[in-house]
Amino acid sequence: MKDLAELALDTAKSKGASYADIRICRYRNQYIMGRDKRIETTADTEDMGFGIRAVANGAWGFASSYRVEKEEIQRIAALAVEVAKASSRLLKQPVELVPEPAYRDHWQSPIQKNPFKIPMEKKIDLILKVNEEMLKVDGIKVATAFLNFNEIWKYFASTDGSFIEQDLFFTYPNFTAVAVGAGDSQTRSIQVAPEQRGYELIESVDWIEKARKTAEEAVQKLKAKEGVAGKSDLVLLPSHLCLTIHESIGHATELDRALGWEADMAGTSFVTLDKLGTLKYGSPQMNIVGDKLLPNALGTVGYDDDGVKARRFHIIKDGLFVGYQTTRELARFVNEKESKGCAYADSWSSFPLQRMPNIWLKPGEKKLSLEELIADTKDGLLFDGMGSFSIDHQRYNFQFGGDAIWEIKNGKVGDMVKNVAYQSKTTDFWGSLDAVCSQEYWENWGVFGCGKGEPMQSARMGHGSAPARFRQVNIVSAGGKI
Amino acid sequence: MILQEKDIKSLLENIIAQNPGKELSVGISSSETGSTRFANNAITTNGVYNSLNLYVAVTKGKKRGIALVNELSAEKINEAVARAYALADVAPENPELMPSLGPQAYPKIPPVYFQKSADFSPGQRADAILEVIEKAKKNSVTAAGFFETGSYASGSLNSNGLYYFLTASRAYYSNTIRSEGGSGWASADDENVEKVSTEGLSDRALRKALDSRKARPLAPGKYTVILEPAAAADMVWFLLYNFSAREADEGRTFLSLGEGKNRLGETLVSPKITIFSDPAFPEIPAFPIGEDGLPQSKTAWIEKGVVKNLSYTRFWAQKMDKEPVGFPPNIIMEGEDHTLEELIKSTKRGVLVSRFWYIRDLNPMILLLTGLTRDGTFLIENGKVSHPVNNFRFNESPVNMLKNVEMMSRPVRVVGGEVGQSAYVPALKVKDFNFSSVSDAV
Repeated sequence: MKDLAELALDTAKSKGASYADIRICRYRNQYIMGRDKRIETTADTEDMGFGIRAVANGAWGFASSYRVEKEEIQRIAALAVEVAKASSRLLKQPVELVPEPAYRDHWQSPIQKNPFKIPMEKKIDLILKVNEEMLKVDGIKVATAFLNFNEIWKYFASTDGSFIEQDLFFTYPNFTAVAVGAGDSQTRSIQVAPEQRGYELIESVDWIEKARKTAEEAVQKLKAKEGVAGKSDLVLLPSHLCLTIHESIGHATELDRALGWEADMAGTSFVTLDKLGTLKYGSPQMNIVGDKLLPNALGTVGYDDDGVKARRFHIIKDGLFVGYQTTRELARFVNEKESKGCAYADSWSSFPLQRMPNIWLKPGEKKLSLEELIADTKDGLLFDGMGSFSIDHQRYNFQFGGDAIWEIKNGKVGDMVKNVAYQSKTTDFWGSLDAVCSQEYWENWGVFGCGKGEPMQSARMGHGSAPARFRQVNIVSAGGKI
Repeated sequence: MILQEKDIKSLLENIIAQNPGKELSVGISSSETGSTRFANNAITTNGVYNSLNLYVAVTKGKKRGIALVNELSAEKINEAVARAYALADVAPENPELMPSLGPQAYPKIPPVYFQKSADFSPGQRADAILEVIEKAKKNSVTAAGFFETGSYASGSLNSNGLYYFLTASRAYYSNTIRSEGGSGWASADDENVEKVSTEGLSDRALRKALDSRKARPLAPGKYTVILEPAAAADMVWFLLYNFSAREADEGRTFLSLGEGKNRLGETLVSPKITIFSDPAFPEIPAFPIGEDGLPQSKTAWIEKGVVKNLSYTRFWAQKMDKEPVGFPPNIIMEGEDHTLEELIKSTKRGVLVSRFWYIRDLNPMILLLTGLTRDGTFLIENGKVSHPVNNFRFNESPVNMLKNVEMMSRPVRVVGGEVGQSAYVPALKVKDFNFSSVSDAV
């Protein structure tokens, strides 16, 4: 691979590139989907190719191909430089990359069992057994499932002297029970987070027990009280808070959005450059970390797609906004001398964008259990898992539902409620954070398919937290008739 | 350069011929796309992308395995067939797996491949964008956008002799122009790049960006709204995404009547509403090929307010003794003989919505959706656009929306801001549309 990479870099330089890099990537995906004790899909996919980025006359050019061969690499390297030159006619500011040391390294996800080496029969058997257990529960009409295993192998080399090989593995299980009855239908999913782990993730879970409980809760949801609009305290579990962190903090603090680079599709951000170091994002209990190092989290790497070594940094400290997510190209716009390591491309054929690292909420410093937090809440709602989600293009106004929601009455978890969501403004919501459980209750969750960019790219990242409480948030009803 | 039909067909025939006695379905797709992004009045990225995929499905009775690779060497092809075969071996029987189809006759569709779109170069995209940026600079606003052009070819063959080949070109342009305190957007797609007017679309976005400055506050609540076609298209697509007969029969959607029954044949929305799909529709052609290679032809979904068809998979159709009906390949909604201006003129007080953003399901049993307005929201007073107002979040069902339609314009081809699939729809004047809260986003 090194020879091919050097050929690409030499060709790009000879055509006039001041900087170039190549990513040679192979993506392997195994997908098994089941429904109602049937296996609907068993699929195995492989996708390999390379992408070359070049800076010429101060502008980026990019070209890619699936033919990983010498002649094609030379052709594509020349094409990337040609495209860069065509773009340079409209240059406003030349591309400048902050420095990063050159690395020669190999990095791999810390997995114990390669999921691609586990027999397919074992995976099929798991899906069928979980389906069967769910369907045993009276009221369950449909049971769906998928197991998704990914391997991303990539070789990165740049004219700055880096040669980096990485091998990443992801495991994503999903099982859902659908209950139908009395003119209603409700779903409930087993709450197990996708992670950068091998098959050991699957083996660490008692799926049959979870299948039964999940299916029973789906049926309970049919009989749950309708949610009532008004104000309520919220206790949000890590399985739920994951997506709220992602949407209201993760996307809002992307520097490319703040600079207007994503204005046409994903939007901009209310966190404009003047707010760096001045915006009170939330209450003093709010400490948010950007992190490419967190073990097993979906966004963890050895090096990002700029060849920047993984690192950890504060985004929000004691409620104050202190740092954007950046890449080598973006860092200078906030006068930083090094990148935060947030470049990512979802394919060999994609141009790397600034994408979220793992972004997580630090646990509270005082010892506080979930039970104590609930006991301290007189009247509220407890949210587990992800539901409907929507947020505006500058990340002010959001609305989130949950996978399962319960009342909290006088410090105790009460009846289930359904058809309810909370709606708030980002800084109001995080300003109402008044308690976060301690380290022992912190859990690593994540988002497996986050879209951004044009053409759309999909990325995955971790969002961990401990259970947390938010005071007097606006609740909306999602019930009614047509 | 994408693969040509003769190459694809010959490769497919070879694969089938080299695997006698096996039940195979193989497909090859090839694409070449170029795209240019710009923001803050400068190009940000510019790239050329090509792809190739080989799809192999092996069926053994009621068992199936699938493998995908992106190489066409003999070794890789054999590896993919072997992998799919091995997966089919271990897969348990799927009683819902339908037998492979034999040769089919497909309806003729208007031309969807234009060489000029396929050949459109990075320099040509840059030229068009340069004009947009110059216009933005002259008006002291900033432009951001995306211009993509390219072509695609796909062929499929199975052991029963079912063969089809498709090739198409596409051009897509989207731009957002931001002014001090305002924002405007416009986008369009077409198979023919000459029909995508970057000049017209940037004029439109610029006008919205200038008109939407200095938005005044307006309280949430139920309003008469005029949804421009891009906003209407997103809501109609979300409606048709949920037109599955099986989910309705299983009691899982707003189309369920319980006890295995659905609302097929019932009046669902206003008698003004007729929505159909038709791959041969000249203004918005689509591939006439559905599930497993079944032909797709003109299908009415809602006719004069009545549910005329739901989508039936081959299995569900057989089980329910119906004909299969494929998922809509496009959307055509009939309108009325009015202009958007006439809709505005007829409105005493209402809100004009340019587009929607981030639409998601809230409750499938009433098809309650949530989402937000974006890039130009205006108050209408006494038949005129009075002034820009803040953006809103809506919590509303497209079913209610189509019950409450009072007036429609003539339909046009648009790409919604959320769904990304084009549709041929009118602007809609709708009463009692529910805006649940205000968004401060500009």
